[in-house]
Amino acid sequence: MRFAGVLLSLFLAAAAQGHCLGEAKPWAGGFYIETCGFSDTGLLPAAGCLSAGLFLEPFAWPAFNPAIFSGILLPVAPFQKEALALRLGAELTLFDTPAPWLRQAFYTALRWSPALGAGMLYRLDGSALRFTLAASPLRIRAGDAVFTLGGFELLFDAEGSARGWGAVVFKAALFLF
Amino acid sequence: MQTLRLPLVLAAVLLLAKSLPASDTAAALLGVTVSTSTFLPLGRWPEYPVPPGLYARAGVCWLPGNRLELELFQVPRLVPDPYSETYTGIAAGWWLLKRKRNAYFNMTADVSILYGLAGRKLLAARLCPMVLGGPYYHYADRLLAAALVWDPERGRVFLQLQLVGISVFF
Repeated sequence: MRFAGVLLSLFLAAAAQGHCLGEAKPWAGGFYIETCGFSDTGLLPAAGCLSAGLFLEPFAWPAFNPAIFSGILLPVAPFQKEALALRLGAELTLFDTPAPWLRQAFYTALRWSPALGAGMLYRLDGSALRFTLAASPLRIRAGDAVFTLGGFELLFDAEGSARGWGAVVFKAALFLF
Repeated sequence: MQTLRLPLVLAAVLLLAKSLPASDTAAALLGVTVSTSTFLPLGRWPEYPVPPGLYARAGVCWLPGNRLELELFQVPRLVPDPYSETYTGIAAGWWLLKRKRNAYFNMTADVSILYGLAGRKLLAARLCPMVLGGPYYHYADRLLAAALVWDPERGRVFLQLQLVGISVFF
């Protein structure tokens, strides 16, 4: 509990350093695409997967800003259309703060927006259902887009038993509406 | 070569890069590139060309002159078994348009040699039709790169696609 309090204070302190880019944003949602893979062969065969869908981020809070997403996920390398899956979930941006450590490297103003998430993966042939917990520590907000490098997920079955893990190499979420 | 681990290479380059001046007007000389990497079969070789899984590519590059780019990189399998398959490679690339301060768009072509964990050697020729940014911007998006990969031992050719790559230059 004490740790949670310290963590919360740190998040709020970080968030207080600047205004959320989203405060002035005219968007509430958009399109995302990601490359990912999962170690749980009970869910999907070993493959590189592509996932795409829509997301909604209705608020513009500087901390604990929620978003929801829904899309499809397909193993593409090797291509296996029979393993098409539905991907649903929610993502919580922990804070949204200027990233001075990126200023030397980038021309554009970027903001560090790490996130935690929870979701569900469901094979459309009905053969598997998994719940996911996700962490995206290297998540960068740049104007009308949010980019994630190197996200990590844990997979659980319907009984709550750990079934493996997943990795996201790259995810781009582009605000469209 | 086989025991080379990318984090060590990246750490070494980042430490080196830290001492270099980062200026808005000067072209950077060193960079780190991370990209997606997808292997696909081609034509009359329908079987999947590498152990299936999620791969990524990461490397460090040196950009002497206005067009040349030399890169040391790795393509590890991340999922399901991290580093159970890894290709370490060296690439020599050419920016098709001269790198200039006011040029934001470019294209690159390169050839590379990849060396796998089990001694497998591959040769690749890659074209990246869209490079946005560059060493003057200290950043570049590399989009929709495609490589033809030749496996001389098995006598087959396959594809490697890199949907998105991000380069940060120092």
